[in-house]
Amino acid sequence: MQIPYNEELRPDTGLYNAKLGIWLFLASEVMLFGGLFSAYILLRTGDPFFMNNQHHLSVPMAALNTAILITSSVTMVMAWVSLKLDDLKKYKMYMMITLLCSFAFLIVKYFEYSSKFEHHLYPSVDNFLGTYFTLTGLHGLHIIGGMAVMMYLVGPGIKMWDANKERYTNRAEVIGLYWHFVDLVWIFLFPALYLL
Amino acid sequence: MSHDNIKNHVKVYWNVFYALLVLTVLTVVVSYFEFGGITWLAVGVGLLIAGVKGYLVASQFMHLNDNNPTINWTLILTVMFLLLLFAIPKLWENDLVTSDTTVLFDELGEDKVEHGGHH
Repeated sequence: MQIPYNEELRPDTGLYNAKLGIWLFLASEVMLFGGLFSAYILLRTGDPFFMNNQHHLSVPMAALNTAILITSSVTMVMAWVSLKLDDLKKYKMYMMITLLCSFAFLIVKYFEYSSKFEHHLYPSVDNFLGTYFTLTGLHGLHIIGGMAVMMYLVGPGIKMWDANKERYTNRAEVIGLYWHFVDLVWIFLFPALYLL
Repeated sequence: MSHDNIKNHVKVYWNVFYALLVLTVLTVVVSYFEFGGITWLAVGVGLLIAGVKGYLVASQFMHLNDNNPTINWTLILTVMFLLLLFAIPKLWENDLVTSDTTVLFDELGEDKVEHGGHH
């Protein structure tokens, strides 16, 4: 049996199936991160000592990571555009840059975490550090998950390009939507945890 | 989408990229302002800039400006639940939530000062 609406739009939703799927998933992700942001608000307004350890966080490192993620977002959307223009070579190039950016993000994160641990700043120390490690850790897991999908798409998954260009292009759009969401979460995490 | 159409989009994508970089620098710069010691103002301005950045990413990179009703209504519903979630902390008295023990660091990794949070 052929699964319908892989490429053509379903008349009632105006979407192909995977696009509806990823948006429903992202809606649930909004609630996942939203719950943790809500915890942040609760702790910040309720705990008078909450912000005491914020000054230990490295603003330059986080700002660098923000720039890295923004760059990866634009290269991701350019990768999808390249497929739309039937340019597989450019697509691969943009995907590789996106992957490199996500690697760079994790490396910066690694240095950030290890400098915290060196100074005995663990999640168990106080509410702020608990919130910081939970939120950035969960976000980091999302980066790793996105990288896994990207590696599949430019790796073994690329066979689909020969068989069904349109469906493969849709896959690139779906991972893009996910990736921009991960970028969007960071755009709010950065000021909330490091700056404000 | 026609090819010419895509070329226009490409221009927009790169402009959004530059705008996001500038706004990131602005976020950091603004965080050094004192705002007369008014915390909510500083937080408000920071979140406003983050909001603009988020809007650019969502509307351009995620194509929300295509205005598909299915996606729009899904997100409107999500935002309603999200606001409810954010309102929950405000349903409590502010001073009810404190750490049992809040550990402060005078110096990096040295001299833990215990502040009892028990009532």
